[in-house]
Parts: sequence; C-alpha cells; structure tokens
Amino acid sequence: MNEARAGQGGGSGKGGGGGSAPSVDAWVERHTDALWRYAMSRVRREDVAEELVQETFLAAIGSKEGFEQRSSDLTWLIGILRNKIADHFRRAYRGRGDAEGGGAGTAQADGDGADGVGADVFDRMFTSKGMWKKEQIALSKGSGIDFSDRPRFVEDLGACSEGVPKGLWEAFLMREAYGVESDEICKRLAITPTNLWSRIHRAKALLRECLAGKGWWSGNE
Amino acid sequence: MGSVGDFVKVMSMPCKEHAAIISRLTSEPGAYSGGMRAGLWLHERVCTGCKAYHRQLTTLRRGFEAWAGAESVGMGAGNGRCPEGVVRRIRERVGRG
Repeated sequence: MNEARAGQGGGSGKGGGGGSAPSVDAWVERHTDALWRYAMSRVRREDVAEELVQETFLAAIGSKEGFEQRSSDLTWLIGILRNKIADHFRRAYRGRGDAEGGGAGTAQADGDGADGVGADVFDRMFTSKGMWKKEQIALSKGSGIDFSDRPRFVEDLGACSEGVPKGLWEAFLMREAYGVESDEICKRLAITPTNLWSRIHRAKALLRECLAGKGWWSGNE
Repeated sequence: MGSVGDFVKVMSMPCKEHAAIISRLTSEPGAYSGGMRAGLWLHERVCTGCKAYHRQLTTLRRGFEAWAGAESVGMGAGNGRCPEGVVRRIRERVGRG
C-alpha cells in the first residue's frame, strides 16, 4: 500500500493505463494524497477533508462515463473536488449543531487564532497617528503584479495562506473565494459584521506581509 | 449633501482608516457611498501608501481567486500525505459506493 502510494506527489498521470477508463481502485491508490492535500489546504479540517475526498470519488464513480480523458484523471477529480469544497462553504446554515452546519465555524468562533496571531498585524503597519510607517511606504514600488504571468505569485500566496490563523482564514475564504454573503458568514461563525471585517482585514494584511517577506511588492519582482 | 459629507469625512481620516475602507472595497465594491469612494480616490492621488495598498489588495484578490480555483494541486497544498486510517476509510466507503 505504501509503495502503491509512494512517489505520486501530486502527479497527474493519465488514467489507469492501457487507454481504457481507469478503475476506481486505481484512482484511490494514485490520487488520494493529492486530493487530500488540496482539500486540507482549503478547509483545514481533517474530518471535512476526508468527507470531501470520499464524496469526490463517489461522484467520480457516478459520472465515470463522462470522463473523456481529454485531461488527466487527477485534473478531472480536482475539478469535482473543487465544486465539493465550494458547496461545503456555500451550504446554507440551518442552525444545526452537527459538524456540517454550525460546526464548520462556531467551534472556532472565539478561538483558533481569530483573536490571537494577526491581532495586531493591521495596527503595526501604521504609526500611532494612523499614518503609514516608512517601511510600509517602501513596499509601494511593486504593487502591481501581473500574476497571470507569475505562477510563483500564486504559489507563494498559497504558501502564505497556511500562516493565516484558522479563525481568520475561514471568514476570509468564505467571503473572498466562495462569495458567501457577509450575513451568512456572520451566522455561521456566530460573529458580528464588525468582527467579520476585522478578520478579513487582518487576513489580507497577513497575506500581504507574508508576500512582502517573499520579496513581492519590493519593485524587483 | 450626504455625499459631500462622506467626501469630507474620508478626506479627514488617517491612512489607517483608509486602509480598512480599501480592504472592504476590494471585497465589496459597493460597500461605500459615492462620496466616500470619491474621497478615497482623491486621497490616493496624493498618498503613495494608500494607493499602493489598494493595488496590492486588488492583486491579492485576483491572485487568491486564481489560487482558489486552481487545478494545480501543488499550490500551497504542501507535501503532506493522507493518513493511513483516512485512506482505509475512503477505500472502504468508495468500494461500497
């Protein structure tokens, strides 16, 4: 089993071999690690990631005939998983106490770094009078990046996202990536609109700061 | 008159408050009145820091949208492996499915 899963590292091999439709077992053996990493990087909860990966494989089984092998099977599976993740974040709150509904956020509403790491990231960009600090002004040279030509920017952004505390990340991700309405996020996370935007501002400031540490915004990129 | 008041209010704010408005605007473009947006626009003509912050957050948003929709597994996903117990459960459930 370990050997079977070894060395796959996010590869995108075509099918299960021989030009025929790949077997489900082959998919599980080949791509579970890659799908798991993709899901964990976004939802950050093992139980949710497990559920999403399972649902992805089950959905793939159900629509296996639709797999035309124009893209790699991993790319196809990622496409399904991406939709599952979006559904997870957009799922309407129904006041349930289970892990899918309220549990997605309420358990972390007052913890998990929402009020810890990053609490002062916004403040530390400014002087006591609310003006930009000099070192922040120095980051203004390279503010416009054509990221479409810069895969490294997106790569670094993904890496930096790992440093955003869970409580901030969840609010930020729901709003920025999946377009969940602010009212909905507030209900799901049991927070006020003011707190929501504070979290989003801090998440952005942390990402910006992390990217600066990787050399972006300096004008040399 | 409300717009003029908003304009004046924004023009008299410190950059820290401008930054919060910029952050909100890059998420919700319609979140503020025309007067506030006009005041911010004018402020950014003379404030290098706020202008750069606005561009950076816009870039951040576009980059993040690309990341969120990325098909590439490697983008920030690290190199972790799925725990064996999880793989076993997935295999069992998918096998039943």
